[in-house]
Amino acid sequence: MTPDLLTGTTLRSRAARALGDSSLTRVLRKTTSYRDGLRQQAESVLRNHDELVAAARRIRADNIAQLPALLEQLADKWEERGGQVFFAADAHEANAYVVDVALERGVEHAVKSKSMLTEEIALNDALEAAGIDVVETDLGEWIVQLAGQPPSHILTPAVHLQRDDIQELFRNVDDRGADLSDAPEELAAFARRELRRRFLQADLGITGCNFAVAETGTVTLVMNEGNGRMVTTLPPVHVAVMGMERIVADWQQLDLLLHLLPRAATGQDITVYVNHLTGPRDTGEMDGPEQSHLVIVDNGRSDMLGSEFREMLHCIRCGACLNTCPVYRQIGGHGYGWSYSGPMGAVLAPLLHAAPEARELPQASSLCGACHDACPVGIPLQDLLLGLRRRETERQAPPSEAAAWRAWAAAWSRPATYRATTSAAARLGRFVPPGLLPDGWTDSRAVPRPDPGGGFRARLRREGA
Amino acid sequence: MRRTALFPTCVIDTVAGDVGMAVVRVLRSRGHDVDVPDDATCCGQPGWNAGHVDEAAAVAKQTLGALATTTEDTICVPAGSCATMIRVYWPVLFRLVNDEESAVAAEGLRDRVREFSELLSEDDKAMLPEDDQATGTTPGPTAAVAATAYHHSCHMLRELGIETQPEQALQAAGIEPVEWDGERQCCGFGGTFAVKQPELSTAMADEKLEALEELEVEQVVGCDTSCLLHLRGRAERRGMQLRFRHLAEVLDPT
Amino acid sequence: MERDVFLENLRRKLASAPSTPSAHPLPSGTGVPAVRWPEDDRPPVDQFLSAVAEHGGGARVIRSRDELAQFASDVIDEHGISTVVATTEPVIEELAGVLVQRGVELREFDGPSSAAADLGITGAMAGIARTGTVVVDGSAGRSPSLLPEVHLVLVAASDIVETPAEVWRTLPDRFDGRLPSQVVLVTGPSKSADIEGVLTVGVHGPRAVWIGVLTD
Repeated sequence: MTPDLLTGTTLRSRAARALGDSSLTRVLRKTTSYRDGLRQQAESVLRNHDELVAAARRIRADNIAQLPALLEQLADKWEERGGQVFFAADAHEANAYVVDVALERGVEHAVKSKSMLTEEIALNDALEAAGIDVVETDLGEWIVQLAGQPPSHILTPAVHLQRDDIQELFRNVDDRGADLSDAPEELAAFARRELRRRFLQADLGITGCNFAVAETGTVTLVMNEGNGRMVTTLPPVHVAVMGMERIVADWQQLDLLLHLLPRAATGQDITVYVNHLTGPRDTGEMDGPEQSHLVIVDNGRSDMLGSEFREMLHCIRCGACLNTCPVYRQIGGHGYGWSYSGPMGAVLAPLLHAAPEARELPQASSLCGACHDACPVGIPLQDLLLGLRRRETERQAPPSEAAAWRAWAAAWSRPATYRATTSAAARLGRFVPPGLLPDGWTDSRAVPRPDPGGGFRARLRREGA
Repeated sequence: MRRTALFPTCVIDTVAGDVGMAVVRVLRSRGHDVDVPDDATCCGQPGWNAGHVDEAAAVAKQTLGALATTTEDTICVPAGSCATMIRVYWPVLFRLVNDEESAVAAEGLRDRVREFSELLSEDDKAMLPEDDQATGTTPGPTAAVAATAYHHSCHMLRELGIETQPEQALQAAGIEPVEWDGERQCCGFGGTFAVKQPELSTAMADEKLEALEELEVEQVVGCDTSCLLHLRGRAERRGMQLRFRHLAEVLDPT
Repeated sequence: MERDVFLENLRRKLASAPSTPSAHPLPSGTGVPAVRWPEDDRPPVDQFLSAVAEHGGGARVIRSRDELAQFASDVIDEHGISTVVATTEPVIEELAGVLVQRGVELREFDGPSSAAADLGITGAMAGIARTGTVVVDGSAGRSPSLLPEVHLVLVAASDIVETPAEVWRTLPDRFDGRLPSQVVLVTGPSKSADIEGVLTVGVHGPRAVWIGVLTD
């Protein structure tokens, strides 16, 4: 079972724990700065990147507005080419379908390429419960699987681990790893050997889907290692699990998004492999899966469709908002408590995760807007976070906090009471907004000095200027 | 003489009278006839950021009324985030509470609202002959210049797009701010974030302060007093000797 | 869940969405703008050669049978190749012949198990100058370009286009709307940066990619 880092914890407790590990903070700051810099560099090469982002935002809005028709077209095309399609209302339906496919084929070994959606629905747990061995084959994802941890970044799942941690994990895989050094090349070569064996023995390959193209019924996977090609080439059965929003109408739109995604994600102009899959192995072809299943998953997304948070369905899971976020770089993905982290995770948490603790995640932001700037499809993430904070206060603000804000509004919506409170505050040298932990400021920061003049307006009246 | 209304903001009203006085002196020295509308309180941003929209709207409406009835050409706001609240978020805020009349009034106010450094930059452009516009000058002290870093505050940079104006004002005053890692990174204040998530907020401040420490900077200049109070509070607690000053204090002719 | 029920729910939700005021409203406009790359006046083949090198691959222009033989020899020597698997594409027949002459064991591709050779050779339907990419039609075989440690691929100079858009935006038309079950774009050797962000080469796919650009 993937451990649950969320239940029974708070953002403060998780943040404090992450911040207590100074080497983690150092790694996170260094890596995210590096990746954010690569992104900016790669984006600046294109002469009309801003225009492309604006167009992508508009096109993603069109995709989502036309979702039923596009999904219908995609499903028809995929079936036309001999593939199977399943529409899953939730995680349970999706997992049950994949388990059924596996059991029907007598599957013992499944290999997966990286898919955040399958983390979201906990597909591995469902397969393992059915007695099926599941191996993650993205290097970073395999590392966190061996560590028994959830990924801490949607693009680079093991960003929180260092080479000696990985060396230790690999040494325990089997005897062949016993003498491994901590050199990244050697560790990667070990993973190549071990996982090649798994690819060759697997009878089921599971992938996510970066973009489906409705026009031709094509699933596109982008990757650098090649595991997403292995998984869709060697096992006789391929299951692609896609969030229902990961669809575009045609190859013009796909072209645009495939220019934006790798730049935002890793600062690349193109990933090493871009794999376009249209159904199972065709007549006369020598390899490729005999069966290709496309599982289209809702799992809470349709509720977003009918809400003010619809634009979050535009997200293409590039991870740029994580790398640029001043909060993520302090605490990493585990500080957020589930697989989606950073600003996109903080928006998705209350919308897709059932745990009450998930509703707190929109507080994991200073609303600085760096995420909006970095987003290749222009999602105003800070506006969505604000919207979620509004929704939460409407649902159930703690009574003391609600009362404090009412008192604030009553005082500051009238000039006389405003002046009374501000001049008192000036004398005390305190500017503490109401309804908040009294120690929240002073535990780590000096208190602002009192204004001997009694505040700005008093001084202006007295001194003139 | 230009007539300018100054909306001081609640932070300056409360704990940063020095900044407010400096703003007034700089504006007057540049020929502005400055008036502070009595009935303007707060832009409502604390409640807005915390998700308390009705309360934020009640406070913002008071200030909207006070600012909308001013007759000056320009309303100067010496805080990037408050200027953002007014220009970018007020219409949304009022529409969310179904107050269309205030939303329209807020939209009508947009063109008159200027963040402090933005206003100085426009002054320079208006006063200079065409060929000198690129360099711009702002009168101010030139002696005993401390090693200075400029802190870009988030909303001012990203929502208002005010990027070069503060540094140009510093350069005109003979101060060349150093380039530093994270000059565009959030300081960790974020309104209620600073008190609801003190560990995170402090870690964000620490990252910036550590970068400044390495550069042996003596003062940090910014255009948002709230960021500066937060950074100063943390720097003092860490025992650092850094000074934190609003742009207006650096340009203050007295 | 039944498809119709699933889609009907989406239609209902779409219709029920509130209109919420936004500080950052959606931009207006139509169409999909072209991606504008920086100016580059060099011929596409020259751009291609340097882009391949930038992405960690090797590329060479092949003007004659002798140059093809030399290219094959160099690859064999560089990587100590003793077995090769080739797809059945006509473009690589000549190359396969050259390899056999050099004493390399040629395996005819008839499924993944035959693809476990030192070297895989394939053709490519197109090359992309800006990115140094080859476009491989997987219907001739997905494994030969994937399983061996070294991938050698031949592309006609006349098939090299300037930008990725000239591949992606034309792909359905190139196949009259019916794509092969796999088309894969390959740009350099397999890479990973999952361990401390350090670049490692050859994690699952080939460690080396060699591209021969065939002129007439």
